[in-house]
Amino acid sequence: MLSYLWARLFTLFVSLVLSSLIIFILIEAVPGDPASFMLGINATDETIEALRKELGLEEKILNRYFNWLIGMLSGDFGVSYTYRVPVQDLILERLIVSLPLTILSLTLAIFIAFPAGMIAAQFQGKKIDFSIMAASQVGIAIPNFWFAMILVLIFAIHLRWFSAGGFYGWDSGIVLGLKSLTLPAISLALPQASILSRVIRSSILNTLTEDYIRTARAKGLSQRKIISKHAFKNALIPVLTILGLQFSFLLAGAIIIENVFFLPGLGRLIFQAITQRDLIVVESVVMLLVFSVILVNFIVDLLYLIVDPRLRK
Amino acid sequence: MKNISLTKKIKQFPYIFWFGLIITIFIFFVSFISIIWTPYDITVLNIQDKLIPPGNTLHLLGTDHFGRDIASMIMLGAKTSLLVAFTATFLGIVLGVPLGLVAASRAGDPLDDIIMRGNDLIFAFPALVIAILITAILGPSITNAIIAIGIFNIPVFARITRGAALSVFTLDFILAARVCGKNHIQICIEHVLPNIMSILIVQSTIQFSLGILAESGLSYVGLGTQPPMASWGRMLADSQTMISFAPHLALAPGISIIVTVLAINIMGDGLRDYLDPKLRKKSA
Repeated sequence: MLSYLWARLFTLFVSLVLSSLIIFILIEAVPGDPASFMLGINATDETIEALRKELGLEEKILNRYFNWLIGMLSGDFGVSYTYRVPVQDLILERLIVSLPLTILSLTLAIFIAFPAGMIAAQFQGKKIDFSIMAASQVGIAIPNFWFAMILVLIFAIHLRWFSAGGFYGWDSGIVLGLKSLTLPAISLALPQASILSRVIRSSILNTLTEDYIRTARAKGLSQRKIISKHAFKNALIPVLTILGLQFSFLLAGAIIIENVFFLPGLGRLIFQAITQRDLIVVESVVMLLVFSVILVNFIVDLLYLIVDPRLRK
Repeated sequence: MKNISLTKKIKQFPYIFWFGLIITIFIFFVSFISIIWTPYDITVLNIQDKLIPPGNTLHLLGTDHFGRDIASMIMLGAKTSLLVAFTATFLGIVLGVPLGLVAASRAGDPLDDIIMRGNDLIFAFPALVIAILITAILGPSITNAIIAIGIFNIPVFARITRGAALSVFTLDFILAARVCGKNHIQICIEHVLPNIMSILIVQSTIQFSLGILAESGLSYVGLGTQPPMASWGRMLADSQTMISFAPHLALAPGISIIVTVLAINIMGDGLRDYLDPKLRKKSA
């Protein structure tokens, strides 16, 4: 188990280094000089030169890569070209919106998907199974930003239960903060819950063909008990895999949904940065997103060990 | 198989498959028509006809804030969606399948490891993030959307090809082919590929429908299709500020996306059930 852990940590390290290299090289390939862009067309050569030095653009490319990497590891992401503030401050300020949104929608998706998938598996082939599967099929086909717009139309414009967008900020209380994240979280959770419930159902049905389930049945356990006591935990492995894979979709979805609701999260930050050609911000946010995807998949691999004792050997 | 009559073969598919297939064919048909004909020219603005609600005899689905015919825009949007999704899926197949085959034929080799770890790495980049990176470099365009979704598709096809090919490589007829003196490439093309074709076809339908969703998402945030090209995602982005007084602007493209994705997914499910009888019992 320890060697597995080391091997996994090593791949985590290598993939982080490689992905940072890819992102750095791609951003380096962008034509144009950030310094002259920041200063506008009226800048003299000397001021551009000075700013290039200040931003560290004069150094060799390899040095700049390592500076960027070491800077990020020590929490220094550099200075935004347009806002002239440290990038880590910008990101932190946005993360307190994006992170709760992602967690909230993931929790919501899990709370919808598990009961739905388990009920569908328990009543396999019955009407309720058919309706849950049909609903999930539709849920997968609905683009979450469109669903978000429809939610706004119904709950914000017609019923006036929620605001159509914007964020109150956590200063004005946790309830108001959560309230402004409710509709975004619901729209993000819908496709996730749909996919998850299908995976949970088929995973449970797969485990139901195992020998120990027949034993449990022979013992006289009810179908419900069999599913909740014996099949459920064993069915978790494929579910975990999908959860890990879905995480990147969730992040991408959050970026889009933030635009629908005008939430000041990472998604808004990155789109503003693109239009303003604030490449250092783009670079850092992309690295952060890729880092979190890699990290989540690493965590999922570790969770396998907890769920399945056979893998611990 | 050949002596089974056509009607029997048709009956082997679940009826829902035909439902999906007919709608898919219809959408393809509409998008082909849009190349030569649409009810109105969407590059011509008619402000006096703006925001006509749907059900109008002249404009079946109504008009937008510039007085452009929604039905015509939906038709052209279908073309864009299908074009992007098709090209991106094609990219994924052309690059992913050979990678998967090479990895499978060299299973256990360092080459296999390198290919698969490389795939894992690409997989850490969500399509949206790839699109963001490409847009930061090249500026927004429909090509970026195709490249971004296509790159995202590569590891998907590589993984599924490798997995399926591995089990084929253990079969006796591969050994026989090797004895005949065929090299790796010949074996892969002549013997392995035909045997994993059904899995690849089903995966293609999945990636195709995902591609349509991804295109709409990218165009919605402005990273994909650019005006004056019509796109369902762009139409939704334009409709957002007018949703309180003109919800039909959001409904038409939204429902188009849902129906298209749903039809392709249903078709793919039916195809999978038909091609893989082992699955038939479980998913029934």
